[in-house]
Amino acid sequence: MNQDRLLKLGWGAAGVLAVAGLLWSIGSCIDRGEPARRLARRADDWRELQALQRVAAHRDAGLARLRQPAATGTNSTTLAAMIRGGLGAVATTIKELDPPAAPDGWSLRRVKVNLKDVNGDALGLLLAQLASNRPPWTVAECALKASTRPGWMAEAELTLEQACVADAPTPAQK
Amino acid sequence: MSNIYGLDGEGDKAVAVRAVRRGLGWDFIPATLDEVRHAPRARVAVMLRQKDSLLRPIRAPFGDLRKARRVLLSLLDMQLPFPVESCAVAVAELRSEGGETRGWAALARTEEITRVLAAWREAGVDPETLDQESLALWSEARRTLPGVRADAERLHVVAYLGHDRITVVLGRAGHLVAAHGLGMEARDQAVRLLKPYMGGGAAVWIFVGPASATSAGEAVRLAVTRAWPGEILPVAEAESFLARALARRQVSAGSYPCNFRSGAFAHDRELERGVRRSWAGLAAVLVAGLLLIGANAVWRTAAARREAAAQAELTRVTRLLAPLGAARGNEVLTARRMVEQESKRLDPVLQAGNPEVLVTLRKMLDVAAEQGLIFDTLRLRRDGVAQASGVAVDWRRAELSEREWAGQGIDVRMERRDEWADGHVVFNLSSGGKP
Repeated sequence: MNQDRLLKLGWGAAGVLAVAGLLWSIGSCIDRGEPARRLARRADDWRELQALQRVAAHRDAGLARLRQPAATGTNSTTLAAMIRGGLGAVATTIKELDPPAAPDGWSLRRVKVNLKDVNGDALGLLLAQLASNRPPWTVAECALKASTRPGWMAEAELTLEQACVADAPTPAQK
Repeated sequence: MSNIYGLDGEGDKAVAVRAVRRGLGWDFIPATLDEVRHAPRARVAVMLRQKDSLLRPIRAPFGDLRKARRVLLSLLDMQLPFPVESCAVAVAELRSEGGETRGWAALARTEEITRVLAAWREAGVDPETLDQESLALWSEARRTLPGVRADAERLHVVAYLGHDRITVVLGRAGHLVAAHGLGMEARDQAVRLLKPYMGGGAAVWIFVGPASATSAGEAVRLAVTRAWPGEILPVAEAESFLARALARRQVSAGSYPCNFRSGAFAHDRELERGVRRSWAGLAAVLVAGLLLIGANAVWRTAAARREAAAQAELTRVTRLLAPLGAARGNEVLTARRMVEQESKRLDPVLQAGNPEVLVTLRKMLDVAAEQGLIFDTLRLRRDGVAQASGVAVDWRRAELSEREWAGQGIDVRMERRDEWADGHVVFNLSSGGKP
């Protein structure tokens, strides 16, 4: 192959390469912002996922509190015993209600407690004690009626709920 | 050491000069033809004598130089007694002036070029440059004698006196006006030849050439200066003036360039240089193309890597929330759906563990005690429903309590029902805040 032919071929190849490089560069220049935009979209998605993770973590922390093992002996104490212990010989009625449907792995209890002539402070202390029980009893609804004696209530009607892990032994109701 | 030479004359009588680098400039020292013959890869410039070539002015009634170049051969053809195709043409000057094109073209018959080159090859020299005598003389005068360009009034005449010929080049203000060549045997014709140009007054004479100090040269000098007395500019080493001009025009481009060794007469080394330039250009284009492609590839790869890393992190975080993963682009949607489903599923459990009613009850009772409110009845539900009735010391205290509860996030509305004689106010409370 003579030099002229080689030069022609070389110029052809170089021209094709240069044009390809140029066209590619023009293309890159035109959509130069696209990779940055895609990265920004992923960063936005990542931030949203982080927010969702925080929601899930908050939820899991709530569940973890319910799963915590009972402090010494409290779990074995029945609700009736706790009320007696907190309020003394107050006229008490405890009625087991149909619990809401519980998800797999969990069991729920709902009870209605009626108390007559109860001291307000003692009731407050009892509710705090119930809330700190493992698993806790929480108030779903309360209806209080004042007594003529200052600081006392003629009647207190409480709806209490308790959630615990399904296989955990639940204390007897009464 | 440079091997750049200028040769004036033909064969063994030639005056030789070598260009030598001196600082930033060049110096020109005498040399011999033998030295030139034996110098490796010598770059030698010789010339075609004025009497063996032609100088023709270019005149065109338009100032467009590109257009002038296109019609140049036609313009010259009209001035020639033979076809322009039988000549090599070198455009020495082309300028636009006052809407016109002006310049000079040097022409040489191809057989004359062939003859001169053959003569030099026979003498053992293969010149790279075949210049034109008058152009070389005038450009050297312009470059080395400051008055030639500065003096716009007087005609300057460079008179080259050789052993075999006389060449006169005339110019004013640095611009070439005319050039003529005579054989030495026709030296008596010099005065007659110059007469048409000498009507404008005093001339400045520049006598150069190897015969300027001979009796024949002296005779010519006396003849013309007697006819038109004028200033004679002294020139150092006048005998090698033309050889210096030829050497200098190789090392630094000056005015009125000319080389008949182009096209079919191009020197082998010039052809080699052309090929090398072509290869170098090719390599430059090739490298530029490769660089462009490489830079784009690197940029795109880097961008793709960054994107892949971001996507991997997104996938990782998504799997923490949605263990089965999600389709690309649907990560947030899928994860949000999973979190919402799970939260809904576990809502009864979470609600059963929610101590909010007790907290609200405590806050309401605390504020009531602080503001002197007495509840007759109070009902609170986890879904936010609050109902109460009672007695306040006065309505202001009731409103204060409402504001305090609002500050603690308990949204209730107080309704004034009745007022006792002692100022106590009976109120109702319900959830929902102010209407």
